[in-house]
Amino acid sequence: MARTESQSNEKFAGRWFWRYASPATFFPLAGKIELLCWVLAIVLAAVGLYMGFFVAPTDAQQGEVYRVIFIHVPAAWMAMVIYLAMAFWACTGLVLGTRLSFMMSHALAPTGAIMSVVALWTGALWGRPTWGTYWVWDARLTSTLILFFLYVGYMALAASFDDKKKGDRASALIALVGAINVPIIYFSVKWWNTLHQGSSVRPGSSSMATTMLTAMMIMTFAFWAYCIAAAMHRLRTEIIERERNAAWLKEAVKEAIK
Amino acid sequence: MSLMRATSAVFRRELQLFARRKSDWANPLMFFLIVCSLFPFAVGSESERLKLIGIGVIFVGALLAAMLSLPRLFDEDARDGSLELMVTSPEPLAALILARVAALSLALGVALAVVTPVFALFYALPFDVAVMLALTVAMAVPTLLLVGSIAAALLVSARGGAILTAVLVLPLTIPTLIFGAGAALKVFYGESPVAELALQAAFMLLALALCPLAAAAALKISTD
Amino acid sequence: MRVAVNALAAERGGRAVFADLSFVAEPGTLLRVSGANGAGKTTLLRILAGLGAAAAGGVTWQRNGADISGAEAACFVGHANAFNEALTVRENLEYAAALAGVAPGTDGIASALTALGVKSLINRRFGTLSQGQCKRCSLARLLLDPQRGRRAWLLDEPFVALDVDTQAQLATIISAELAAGGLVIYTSHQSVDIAAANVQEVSL
Repeated sequence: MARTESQSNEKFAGRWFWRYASPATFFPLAGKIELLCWVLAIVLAAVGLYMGFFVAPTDAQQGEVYRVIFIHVPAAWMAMVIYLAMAFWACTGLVLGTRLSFMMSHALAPTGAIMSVVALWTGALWGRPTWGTYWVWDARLTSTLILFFLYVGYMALAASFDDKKKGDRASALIALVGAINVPIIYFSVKWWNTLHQGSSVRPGSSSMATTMLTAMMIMTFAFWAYCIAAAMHRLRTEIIERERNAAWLKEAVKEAIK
Repeated sequence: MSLMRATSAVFRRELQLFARRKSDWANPLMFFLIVCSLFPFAVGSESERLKLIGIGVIFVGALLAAMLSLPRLFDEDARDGSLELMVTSPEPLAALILARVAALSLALGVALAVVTPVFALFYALPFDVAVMLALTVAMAVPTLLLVGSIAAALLVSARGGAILTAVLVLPLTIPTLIFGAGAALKVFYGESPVAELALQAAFMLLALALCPLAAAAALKISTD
Repeated sequence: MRVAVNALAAERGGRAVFADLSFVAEPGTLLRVSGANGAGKTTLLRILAGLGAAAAGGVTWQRNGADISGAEAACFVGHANAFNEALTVRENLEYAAALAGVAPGTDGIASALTALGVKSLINRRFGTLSQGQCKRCSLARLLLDPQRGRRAWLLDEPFVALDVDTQAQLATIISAELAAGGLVIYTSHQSVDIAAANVQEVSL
C-alpha cells in the first residue's frame, strides 16, 4: 500500500492529473479557485438570502419561521457531501500514495464539521417555534449529529500523530470506515425513529412554491462555493505548513515579499 | 494447515492470557456493575421509571465495559515486541486478528452476557426481557470488538488512546445498539423481536467479514 | 536464500535516515551492518524483515530462485524480547513457532533451549526470568525451524545482556547456521568473533 509517488507515476500515464498532484503545481491553481469561489459565494448568498427572506411567500402552516430552511437544508447537504469528498480523497491517497490527496481530506474536515454544526443549530432554531422543543430526535437530525461525531473523530485521530505520514494514512482509513458506515447508520436511525415515535414531522416535507425552490437552489450553490473556497484556503495553508522546507515555497515567499 | 495452526495458536494464547490475569475479566465486569448501579441514584428508585430506562442503561453499560478492553488487543504486544511476530508472520494478518478478536469476544461476551440478567434485576425487568438482553449483548460485544479492533490497531501505544478509541468507535456501534436494545424493548412490549435480532446478526456478520481486513491494514499502517 | 537490496532509502519519523543503499548477500554470508547511533541500522533490519516500508528502492528476497516476501524469508530478533510475561517459555515458543509457520514439536523446542543453555527454564513464567535469561530464551526462536539454513536471521544487537560464555555460545550457533547455508545479518556495538567463510560489511 505504501507506494511512492514516483513509482505510481510509472504505472499511470494521466499527465494532467499527475502534474496537479504535486503541491507545488496545485498551489497557485488552488488560489485562483479560492478567489473565484469567494466571489461566487458572496454573490449567490446575497441573492439567495434576499430571495429567501424577502421575496419568497409566507408559508401557510409555519409562518415566517420556515425561512431558516434556506440555511438549514444546504448546510445539511454540504455536511453529507463533504464527508463523501473527504472519504474519496482519503481513498485516492491510500491507493495512489499522493500526499496532496491526504492534505485535501484534512482541509475538508473542519468545513464539514462546521456545516454539520450549522445544520444542527439551525435545526434547533427551527424546532422551537414549530414543534415546541429545541431538539427532536428525527432521523435526519440524528444522522447529522452522528456525522459530526465522525468528523471530530477524524480530526482528533489526525491530530494525535506526531508522524504526519502515519497520521495521514490512519485518518484516511478511519474516514473510509466511517463512509461505509454512514448508510448503515442512517438506515438504523430511520428504523429506530419510527420504532419509538411513529410518524414524525419531517423538516421540508411539505411541497414548496417555485420561488422557495429557486431560493433554495441558489443558496445550495452558494454553500457549495463557500465550502470549496474554505477548503482551498485550508489546503493552501496546509501545503505551506508541510512544504515549508521546499525550494519552490521559499522562492514564492521571496517573490511575495519583494 | 499452517494457517489452522497459527490461528488456533493465537486463539489459545488470548484465552490463556485472559484466564491468567484476573484484571482482564474482573475489571470490565466491575465497571459494568458500577455503571448500572449509578443510574438509579440519578433518576430515582421507582421501579416503573427504572423499567423504562433499564434496557438502555444495561446495553450501553455492556458496550462501554467491552470498549475498555480494546486497548489490550494490541497495546501489550506492542510493548513487549510480540506484535511484530504477528505482523511478520507469513500467515494472513486478517485471519490472525480475527482469531484474536474471536477469542476475546468469546471470553468477554460470555462474561458480560451471563451477568446481564443479574443486573436486569436492578431495573425490575421481567425475565424474558433479561434473557433477550443477554442474547443481544452477546451479539453486540463481538460487533463492537470487531469495529474497535480497527481503532485499536490505529492507536497502538498512542497517548490517551483509550478515550480517542471511544470517540472513534462508539458512533460506529450505534446500529448494533439500536437493534440490540430494540429487540429487548420489543419483548418488553410483548411483540416479536425477530426483525431486530436478524438485523443485529446481519451487522455482526458484516463486521465479521470486513473488519479484520481493515484492522490488518490499520496494523500495517501503525507498525510501519 | 539470498537478498538483494536496490537503491534503498528509509525514513524514520519523517526524517531521512539513509539513502541509495545497495548490496547483495549470498547464502552462507555473515553480513554485519555498522554505523553510528541513529544511522538507521535497526531501520534497515526492520525493512528487510518486512516490518516497515522503504521510502524508495526495493528489497528482493529469493529462495531457490523464487521471489519471496520478507516475512517468509527472515526471522527478526530485535531489542524487544517478543515474549509475553504471563506465559511460560514453552508457551511463548509454541506461539512464535505457530506464527512463523513451523512445527518443531516439544523436542524441537527443548533442543532449541538446550543450545542456548536454558533448557531448565522451559516451564518457567517469562516474567520471572532475569534479563540475560530472557534474552537467551527469546534467541531460541531462531532455532525453532527444524530445517537449518531455511530462514535468514536478522539480529539487532544480539550480544547485548549476554555474558561472555553465552556470547561464545551464540557465536557458535551462528557459525553452524552459516555452514548449513543460512544467511545472518546483524548489528553489534561489541566485537565478537564469529567463524564464517564469507564475511561482508555494510556501513551506514
